[in-house]
Amino acid sequence: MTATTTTAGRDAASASRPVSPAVVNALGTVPFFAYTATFLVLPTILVVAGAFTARGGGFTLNGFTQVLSPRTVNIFATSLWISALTALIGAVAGGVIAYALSLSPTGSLGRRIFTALMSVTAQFGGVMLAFAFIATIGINGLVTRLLTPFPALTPDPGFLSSLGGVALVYCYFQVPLMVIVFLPAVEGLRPQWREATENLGGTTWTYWTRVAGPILLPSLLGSFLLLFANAFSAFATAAALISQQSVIVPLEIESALRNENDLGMDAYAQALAFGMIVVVALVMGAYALLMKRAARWSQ
Amino acid sequence: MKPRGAWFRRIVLGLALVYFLVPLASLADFSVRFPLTGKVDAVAWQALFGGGQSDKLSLLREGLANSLVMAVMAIVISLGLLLPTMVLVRLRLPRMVKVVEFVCLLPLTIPAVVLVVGLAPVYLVISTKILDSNTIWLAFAYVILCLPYVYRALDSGLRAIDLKTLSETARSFGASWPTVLLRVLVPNLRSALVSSVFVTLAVVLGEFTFARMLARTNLQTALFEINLSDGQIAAAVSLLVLGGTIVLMVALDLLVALQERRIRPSTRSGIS
Amino acid sequence: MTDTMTSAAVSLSHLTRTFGKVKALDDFTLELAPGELVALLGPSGCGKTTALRALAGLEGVDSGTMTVGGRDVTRLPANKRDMAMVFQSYSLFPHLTVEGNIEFALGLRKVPSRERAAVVAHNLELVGLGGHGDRYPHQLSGGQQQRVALARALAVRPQVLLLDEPLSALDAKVRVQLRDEIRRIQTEVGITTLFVTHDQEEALVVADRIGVMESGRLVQVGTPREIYSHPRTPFVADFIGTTNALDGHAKDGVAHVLGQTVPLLPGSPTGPVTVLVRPESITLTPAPDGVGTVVTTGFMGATSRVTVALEDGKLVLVQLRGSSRDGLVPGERVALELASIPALARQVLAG
Repeated sequence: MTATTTTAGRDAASASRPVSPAVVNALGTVPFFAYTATFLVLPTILVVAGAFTARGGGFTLNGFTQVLSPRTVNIFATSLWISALTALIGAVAGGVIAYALSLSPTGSLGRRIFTALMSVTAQFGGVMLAFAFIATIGINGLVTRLLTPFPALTPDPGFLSSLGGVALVYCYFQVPLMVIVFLPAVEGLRPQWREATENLGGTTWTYWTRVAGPILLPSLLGSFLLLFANAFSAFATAAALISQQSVIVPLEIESALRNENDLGMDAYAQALAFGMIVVVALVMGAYALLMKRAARWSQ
Repeated sequence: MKPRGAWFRRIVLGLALVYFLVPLASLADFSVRFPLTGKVDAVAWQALFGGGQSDKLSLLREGLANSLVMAVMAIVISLGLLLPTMVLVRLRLPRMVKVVEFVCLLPLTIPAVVLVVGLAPVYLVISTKILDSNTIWLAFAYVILCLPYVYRALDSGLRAIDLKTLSETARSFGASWPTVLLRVLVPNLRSALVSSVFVTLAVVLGEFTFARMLARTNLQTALFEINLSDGQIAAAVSLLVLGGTIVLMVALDLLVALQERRIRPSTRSGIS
Repeated sequence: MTDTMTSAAVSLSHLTRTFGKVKALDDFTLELAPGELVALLGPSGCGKTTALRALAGLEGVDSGTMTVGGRDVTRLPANKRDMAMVFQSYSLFPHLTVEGNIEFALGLRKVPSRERAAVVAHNLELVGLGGHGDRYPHQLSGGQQQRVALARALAVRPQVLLLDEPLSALDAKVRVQLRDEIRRIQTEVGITTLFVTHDQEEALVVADRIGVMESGRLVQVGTPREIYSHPRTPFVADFIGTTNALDGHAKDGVAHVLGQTVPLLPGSPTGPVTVLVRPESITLTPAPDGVGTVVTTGFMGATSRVTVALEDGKLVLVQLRGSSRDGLVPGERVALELASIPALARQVLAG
């Protein structure tokens, strides 16, 4: 084919072909986008739209009125502080572990196994994790029995189904998640920075407060936010530990969904879910910003 | 180099290891101890592997079977959907790469418990109008849960190979696109595909939220029910699944590490 | 503004350092006069970086002493040694601007804050980066980052400047440019400098004296000219510049090679030897009965390189002045003439 430079020539060339390759290429992405539209985008839209839709189909703010009721506001507050608390504990403990891990020889077998163990346990939220803790510090748990001789240390039988118990169990996946997301930042600390600090006359204290600290801060805050969103979204662990009442938002969504046909519960589950979307979206937005900054420095 | 803070490192990592392994040890202990008397027996394990028959066990078997079938479905669908799409956008639609990435990572920012509220009406339609209320159709939604992990695994696999040159070379020798995909790309992406498969398996076997809220029976909801009456069996199965996952994932990681070492032998020297 | 610093003499004597079984420093002794630039040169793993890091205090020594300006610094921690180092790469603090990086260093050296701005500006000017003070390291090219690292090191007015392969992470063109500039700035400032490199050309151009290292030991120290024309060992001759290894026979301070005689450097053995001849010490003339055949010719601007095959198949590299290649074509027979410049010979290796 000769190169055609005039508009007319180009039109003729494309008209002679049945379909242009650009269209074929675009068609290739249709299955992916159709699938994600059905099972990801549509449900999300249904949640948002459903939060404003009454049973008959009309517009309603009933769901939000209920979300703003003192009881539900209280549930949101509990969810927020328990997420913040476990994220804080996870960030501190996980940060220390990540730093300790970064001190071990790179590429050593032990380090690889430990890192792999962390990435598995970071995903361990759920029913089985709850069982594991019941088997550890529940009434007949292993640690409970071992501690029986020391009544002061013996866990309270009801502890696991309290908020404190839920927080403790959450730490089981929060800490390793922190290790996984924070480790790259710690590994990114170049030995030259410490050596340059020493060489210029700085002490270890100078290094941590004025070099490593500020460099790690965006990653540290970002990781905290990720942990926060992770705890805030968790459902299964709490569901398996707490059976009586809905103390955190996901549990309240479950009961709202179950009682959807009750009078006056219009759009409540959707409005709760909408509230969660807003919180997580804000947190993850801030997370993305912080990570962008951290990535810029690590070039 | 002097080992900076070797003591600090050992104590911290040792304590962490204890914290992460004690609950697993407790599960093992719990599964062989009769709660009221504290007597050690293997009743739960015998029931599990002795082919016993009871309502509990058949519920468990049903849940496990459903979860396994769904895992296979989710693996097939997610790889079948994602791999061709990712290769296509990288080669032909570079501007779409970011869009596909955004969509794939989206499930990380939408809590499962939120998604399920919107999935309820979708599954109402699926079970009444299109298919039926069989649990295994939940696999469609599980694909979404696995999407970020499968995407990341394939993404790092595709980054490691020169996709453009590989496919252009194959095409210049006369290979069709399916041939390029299956005979050229898949062998080069083996470790990425293996880790996608394992991650999907782990996610599906551990899934509880969707099944619980949509009132279906999978492994986790079955365990949840059984635990109410027989904690020992629930503990035994949990130990098997958690322990199995750990062993599988760690082995996978070591396998990948070994392969990397074979390709790029690391030269380590302390001085220069 | 005059910029004479309090440059100090440095003395490293009998330093030893082992890593496991490897001797990184083996009875290492080196003196630097005030204001002198000494380059430590050697292949990777020869211990040159260990020597530099030992002087910086970043690496301990097993035995030996180090003094700076007469003061014993052997047991002093790195942050008390009053030196400044430029690393191979990545040593700028990524969260601080160019100015911030230099000010940080000045703060650590207790420079009063009102003087800092002037010092920062002056040193950025010195390295040719005036007006770049508000940039972040990631916004600079590799060459610019190394300039900032140099400015930061000079700003604190250290007694000794340490350069640890500062150019090896840079592109060829930038490397040459910055190399010349480092020499200019060092001369201008007059600071005692230890420069570690594996690039012989870099060392030849920049240094007052070069120390060639081989497996932890200093095998020869001398001016670039001495090292190049009077190598003390075959290792030095091989490592600095290019040499041709020609078979010959040595006797009474001269060697017989290709039917000609070449004066030998002291230390050369007698008997059957391999004579190390520089490519520029050979000239070629077309001759039908010559011992060599031209294999390839390559034009390099000011010079040309010609490969010649001897009758036994051995290849000889010859470097000619720009136009003297004219007329030589591959396949042509040529005669080789060896200049009577002293060369080093080594014993023929058995086998």
